[in-house]
Amino acid sequence: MNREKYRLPWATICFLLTAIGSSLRAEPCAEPPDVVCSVSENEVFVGESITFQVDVQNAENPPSPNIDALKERFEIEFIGDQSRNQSQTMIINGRFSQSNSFSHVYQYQLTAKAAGTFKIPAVTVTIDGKTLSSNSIPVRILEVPKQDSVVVEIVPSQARVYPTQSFSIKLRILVEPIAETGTDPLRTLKQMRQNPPSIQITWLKPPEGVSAVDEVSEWLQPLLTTNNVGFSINGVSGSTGSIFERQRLAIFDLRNGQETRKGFDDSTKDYFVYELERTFVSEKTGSYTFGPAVIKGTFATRIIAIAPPVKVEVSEIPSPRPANFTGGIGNYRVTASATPTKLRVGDPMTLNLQFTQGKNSGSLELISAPDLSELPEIAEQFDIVDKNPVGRVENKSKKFAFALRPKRAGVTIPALKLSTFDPAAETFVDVATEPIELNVAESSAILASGDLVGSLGGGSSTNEIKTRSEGIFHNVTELSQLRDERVNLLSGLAWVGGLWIASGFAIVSLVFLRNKNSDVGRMRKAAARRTAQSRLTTASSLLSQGKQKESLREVRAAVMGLVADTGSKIADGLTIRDLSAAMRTCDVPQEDCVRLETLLERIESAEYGASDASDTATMVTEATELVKRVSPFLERGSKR
Amino acid sequence: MIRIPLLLGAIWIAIAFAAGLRADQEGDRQRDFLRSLELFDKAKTPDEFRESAKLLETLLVDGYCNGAVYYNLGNAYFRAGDFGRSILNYRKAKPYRPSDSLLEANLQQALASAPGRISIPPKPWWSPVMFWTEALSYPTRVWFALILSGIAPLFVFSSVLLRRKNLVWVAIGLTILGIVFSIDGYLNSPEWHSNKLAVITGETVARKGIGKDYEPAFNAPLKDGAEFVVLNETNGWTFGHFAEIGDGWVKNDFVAR
Repeated sequence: MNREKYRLPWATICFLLTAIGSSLRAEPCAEPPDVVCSVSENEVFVGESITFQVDVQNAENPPSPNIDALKERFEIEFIGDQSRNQSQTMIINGRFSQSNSFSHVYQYQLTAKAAGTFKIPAVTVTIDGKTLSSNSIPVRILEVPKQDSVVVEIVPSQARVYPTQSFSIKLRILVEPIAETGTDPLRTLKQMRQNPPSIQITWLKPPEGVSAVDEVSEWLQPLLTTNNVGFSINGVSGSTGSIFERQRLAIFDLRNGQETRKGFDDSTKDYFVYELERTFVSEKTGSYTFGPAVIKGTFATRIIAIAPPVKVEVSEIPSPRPANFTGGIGNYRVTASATPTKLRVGDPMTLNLQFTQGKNSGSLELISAPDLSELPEIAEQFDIVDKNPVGRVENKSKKFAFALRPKRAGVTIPALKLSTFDPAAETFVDVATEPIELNVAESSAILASGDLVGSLGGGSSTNEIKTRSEGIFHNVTELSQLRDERVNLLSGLAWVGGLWIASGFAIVSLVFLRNKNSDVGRMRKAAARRTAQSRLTTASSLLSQGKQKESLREVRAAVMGLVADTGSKIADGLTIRDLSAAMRTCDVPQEDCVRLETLLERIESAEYGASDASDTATMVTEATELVKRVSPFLERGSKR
Repeated sequence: MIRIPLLLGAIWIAIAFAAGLRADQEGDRQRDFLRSLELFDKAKTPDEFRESAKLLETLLVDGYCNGAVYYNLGNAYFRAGDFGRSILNYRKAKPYRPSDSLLEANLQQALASAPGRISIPPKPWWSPVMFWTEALSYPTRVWFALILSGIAPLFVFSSVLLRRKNLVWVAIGLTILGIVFSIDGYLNSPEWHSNKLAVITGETVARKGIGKDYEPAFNAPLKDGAEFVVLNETNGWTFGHFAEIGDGWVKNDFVAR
C-alpha cells in the first residue's frame, strides 16, 4: 500500500521536471549540423509559385542560407523563418536524461521563369566556418498551354500615381461559355460537384510602400458566397460555423457581367466576366509589381491561365511648384466662408477654407494651410494674424481657420486662387474660391473700447495690436498681469458671517444698554441712596449756615425720598405710616423702623419750633446713620 | 521692558522674510512665464508647443490662479492641436477675463477646430437673469459679494445706533445684492466649473458602464474637444452627460478638467 502511495508523486515530479526542463537552456546536441530542403510541389506551370523550405538542423542559431544559386531560374520571395528548437529533460526513478533537437526553417516562394525539367540546386549554410550544402530537388516546370477559353489579366487603374493617391488593381477573368449549352462553366461545375477553380494572386499582402484601403477580411467578406459558384483565392478558408467540422475553402462570387472580344483566331467570342478589385494607397515613391496571377481549375476542360505582372509607378510631384501650391494631389473643391461678415477695421474675423476631396485624390494630410501673405489681394487688405493654422480633417474635408483683421473700411475677400496637382494631366491647376462680401466699418469705436488692448496686456497700444504678427492667438506678454487672482468665496463669506455675528453682538449690547438707561424707576432705585446722602450733606451745610428749618426739611426729604425712590413711590404724599409699612415690607429691622419713625416725628415737631440747633445736628447725624443702615434693606426689598 | 522691542523685531523679521519669499515666488513665476513665451515663439511642432504649455502648467501649482496664464495655455494647446485642452483652458480663463474679445474669439476658433465638438452645453437658466454681471471678472464678483455682504451688518448697526430705520432698508438691499453676487460668483467659480464641466482630450469610446467590457454608450467614438457635464467619478472613470447625445462612462485618461 505504501509503495502505491508514493508512486504518484514521483510520476508527477518527473512530469513537472520535464515541463520545466523544456524551458531551460538546452545543451548542444551531438548530431552534426545538416541542411534539408523540400518543395510544396514538384510539378508546376510557368508563373506558378511553389514553397521552398530550407530546414537547418542541429545548429542552435544558424545564419540564413545562401540561395543565390536559385536566382537563375526562379523569382524568389522570402516568406519567413521559424525556430523549432526543442529541449526535453527526464528524471525517471532518479535517472536524469536530456535530449535537445535544433531546427530552424526558412521558407521562400519560388516562381519559375521558364519551362523545363531540372533540379533546384543545393543551397549553402555556413556554420562555425564550415559550409554545408543541402540536397538538390528535381522539379518540372510546364509551359502554360495556349488557350483562349479562360483569359486572365491584371489591370491597374493607373500606371502612374503620386504619393498618398489611391489606385486599384483589378484581376479580370474571362471565361468562355460551354459551347454546347452556352452556360457558365462555373455553374456546371457546381452541378457536377467539382471543386471550384482557384486564384493565386500576389497582392493579398500589399507590397512594402503600398497599403491596402481595406483589410483582407473587409475586402473579401462581401464577396463570400455559399452557393459554391465562384473561385477560391490563395487558399483562404472560411468558417463552417460548427465546432465539429474543419474549416473549408472559402468561395468568392466574382461575377461581373459578360463581355465580347476577339479570340486567337480573330473570331468574336462571348465571355463571362469575373473581377476581383482591390484599392491601395501609395505611401512611398517607387515601382511596385502586382502579379503574376494564376487561375487553375476545371472549366470546360482542366485549364491553367496565368496573367503577367503589372507595374505601378509612384512618382514625386514635379518641381518647381507654384507659390500657392497647397500640397493637394488630385481633385479638390475649395470653398471659403468668413465670420463675422459685419465688422469694423481692426476687428478679428475668421476666414475658413475648406478643401473637399474628390475621387482618387491624395490624402488630406498632404494639404497644408496656404500662405495667405503670398496672395497680394489678401495681404494688402488684411492683417494676417495666424499664417499657419492647424487644419482639421472631417470625413473627406480639411478645414483651415485663418484669423484676419481688415486694414481699412470697405474691403472684401476676393476669390482666392490656390494650386493643386492634377495627376491625370500631370500639371498644377488652380482652384478658386468664391469672393466674400464684407461690411467693414471704420474703427474708431473699437479703438476706444480697449477690450482688445486688455487682452494683449495693459501696456499695449492699438498700434501694437495692428502690428502683432500672431494677432488673434497672441499670448498675453505683460508681466503686470501675472498677479495672483485667486479668491476664495467661501472663506470670504465665513469672514462676512463673522462680521454679521459681531455686528449682532454690538446691536444686542447697544439695545441692552439703551433699555437699561431708559428705565426711570430703576434709575431712581439705583440713585436712591446717593440722593439721600446728598440731601443729608445739604442738610448739614444748611445747618452750619444756621438754617435749622431748611436743614430739617432736607433731612425729612432725604429719608422720605429714599423710601419713595426705592419703592417707586411719590415722595410728596408719603406719611410716616406709609413709610413704616414700606420698611416692614422690605424687612428693615424693627429697631431701625422705630428709630426712623421717631426721627421723622421729632423732625415734624422741630419744624414747628420745638427744637434747637443741637437737636437738629443730632437728627442729621442720626438720619445719616439710619439711611446707611436701612438703604441695603430697601434696595434689596425693591427687587423682589 | 526689553521683551517688547524683541517681539517687535521678531515680527518685523517674519514680515520681511514672508515678503522676501513672496517676491522670490513672483520672480520665479515671471521667469517661467517669459520662458514659456520664448518656447511658444520658437515652437514649430506640436511637441514644442506642448513644452510651452507644460511650463505654464507648472505656474498653476499651489493654487495660483491667473487668467492670462490660462489664456496662454489655451493658445499653446491650440497650436499643439490639443483642442480639448485648449477649450478647457480658454474656459478657465473666461471667468478672469470676461471682457476679453480675443479670448472669446480664440475660444470660438478652438471650438470650431475641435474634431469632437458636440453641441455646447446649454447656458444655465440664471444666465439671462444675471446678464448684468457678465462683464465682471470672477474675482470682482467675489469682492462685490464680500463687500456688499460685509457692509450690510454695519448699516444694520448704524441704523440701531443712529435710530434711523431707513438704513435697515439699505442694509437689506445690500444683503440681497451680496447674496445674489455670492451665488453668481459661486456658480461661475473655476472650482464649480472644474467640478462640473470636463472635456475629452482624445478619441475614446464612451461605455455604458465602468470597464471596456461594457457596450459603447454611443454609436461613434468621442473625439478631442467634446465637452460634457460630470455626473459622477469613480475608479478612474468619469460618468458624464453629453449634450443632445446622452450619458456615458469615459476613462479618465481621456478627460481633462
